[in-house]
Amino acid sequence: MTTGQQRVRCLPLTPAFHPGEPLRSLLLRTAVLLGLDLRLLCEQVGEFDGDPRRWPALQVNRIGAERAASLLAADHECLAALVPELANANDSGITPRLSRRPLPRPWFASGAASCSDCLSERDGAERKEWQDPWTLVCLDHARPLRPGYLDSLAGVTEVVEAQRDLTALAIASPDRVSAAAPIVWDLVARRAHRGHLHELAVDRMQRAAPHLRRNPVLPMPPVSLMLLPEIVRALERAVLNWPIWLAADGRGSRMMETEALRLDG
Amino acid sequence: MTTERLELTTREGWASFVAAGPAIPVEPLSSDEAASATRAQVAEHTRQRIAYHSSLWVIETSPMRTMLQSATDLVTMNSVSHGSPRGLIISGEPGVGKTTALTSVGMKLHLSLERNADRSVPVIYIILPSHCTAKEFCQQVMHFLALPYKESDKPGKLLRSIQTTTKGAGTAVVLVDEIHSLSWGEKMAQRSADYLKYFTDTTGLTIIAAGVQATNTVMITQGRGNQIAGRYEVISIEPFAHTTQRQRQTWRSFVESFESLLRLRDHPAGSLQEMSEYLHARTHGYVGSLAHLVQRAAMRAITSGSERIDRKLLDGVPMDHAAEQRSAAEARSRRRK
Repeated sequence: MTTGQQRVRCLPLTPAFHPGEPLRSLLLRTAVLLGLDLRLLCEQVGEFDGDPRRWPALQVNRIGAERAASLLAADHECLAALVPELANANDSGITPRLSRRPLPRPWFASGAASCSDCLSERDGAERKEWQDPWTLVCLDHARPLRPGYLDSLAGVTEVVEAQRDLTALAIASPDRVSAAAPIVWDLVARRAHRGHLHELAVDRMQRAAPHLRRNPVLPMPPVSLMLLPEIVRALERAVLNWPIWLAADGRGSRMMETEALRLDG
Repeated sequence: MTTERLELTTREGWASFVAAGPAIPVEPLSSDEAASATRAQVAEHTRQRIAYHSSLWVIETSPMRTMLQSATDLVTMNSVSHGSPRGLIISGEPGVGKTTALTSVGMKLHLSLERNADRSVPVIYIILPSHCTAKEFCQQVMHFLALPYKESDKPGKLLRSIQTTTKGAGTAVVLVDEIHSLSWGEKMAQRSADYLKYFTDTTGLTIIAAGVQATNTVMITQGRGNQIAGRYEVISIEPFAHTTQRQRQTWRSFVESFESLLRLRDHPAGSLQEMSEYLHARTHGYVGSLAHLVQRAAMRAITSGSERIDRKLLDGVPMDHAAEQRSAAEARSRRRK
């Protein structure tokens, strides 16, 4: 009997997974390992359209489409649950082999802040807490996180090439970015209102800086939807006077209070 | 239970081919075993015997030993040399066993490379489509590796991914079947020659290719094809000749080796060897034709229950069209004389 389903194929190599690594970081390292375009890999994985059947390494036939979909939706938790599934798969012919080779340097940071010592120790694997705007310091190495959006590795992704200029501006000129914050905030809100992708970004912005003023009348620069989360994060960091917060747990409230006071004042 | 047949031109299909190794003979049931087996068991056993007699039988001939030695030398040399990697081309007419030789050599290289180092994809096997371009060449490699790509991706981009991945996976060899498909028209052939050189220079991989009369293609004989000719060893596989005493003896030995693979209950050992002249007349010394003739006769012997191959059974097996054409041409030539 033929089912009409195509056999799921796996990528030939995957980098070794590090605990606490976000999905995006693993994808990025996989792209580097295989010399692939990150966007293409994300499309295959289904990160963009949420269709796990298009992720070759997911082994949907083993873990079931429903479970795969929930894993993907969980994002941060996805890999922790997924990797044991792959490791337990015993059919060596279709299971991706873990690469034992270190990735070429310098690493490419996917957009979050980073600690270069951690990256070095973890073969370029990021930590999921770096994606939180209130994580500002690496507790393991007692140093501020590097804003590091743009360590480059040639040819990894066209998307990031396109992001380079705008985010570099955000990092290099925090004053200009601060001035532009209300504009971007308004743009984010309006996008969210139309039901676009960035509810998460809006939610985070609201939680992180609830008193940031809005200016609804200024004209908007042409900004790609894809750039918004990156810019929002850059703004958060620039506007929120970032090197003040050290704790890893219970984080956020103290910073928000501080910022609320500062912004109100 | 049926097993899924995997494409040999995929990583998993090739790995399964290598893991399976040469076909394992299935002996006929003894009369006691047959008496105690159920009908279903007998039917399953018969199916397995037919599958065995339809599988790829590899007889190690002298050219194949030369090929394996050359291929091993080249892979070793290329892995330590900083110069342009050298390759091997297996050339010959259709039906002489080029693909069998290529895959057999590839399998042995795979096992040997895997044994000596941690390599997840030591060998890549691709078959080139007709009128193959540089981009399609790369796409075939990407397909083997299960790397995603877009139809619009240019060869350079594909090559970058191939280079990175093969380095990480410890790949050393690319087996290219139907290499003659790269040569179509003088202009494109020159581009193909350029590209083939660029591919090996960039990736450092050893190419072992097989193709129909590959030495006569414009890709090698004209223009910058000299670059290819200067870097590739060529081993020609010819059909077995049957003119001199020595040639007849070689053919007879080959038939004997082939016959030893048969697993038929009542087949008298050496009877095919006795018919070696007849077999040459029907197959003209082509390995593919001989395999077709003998294996099909074996299947008929199993299903009919005769369990032996004789002249009458062989006479009833139709040959492939190419063999029939050769026979007709030979008959015409004899009549003229």
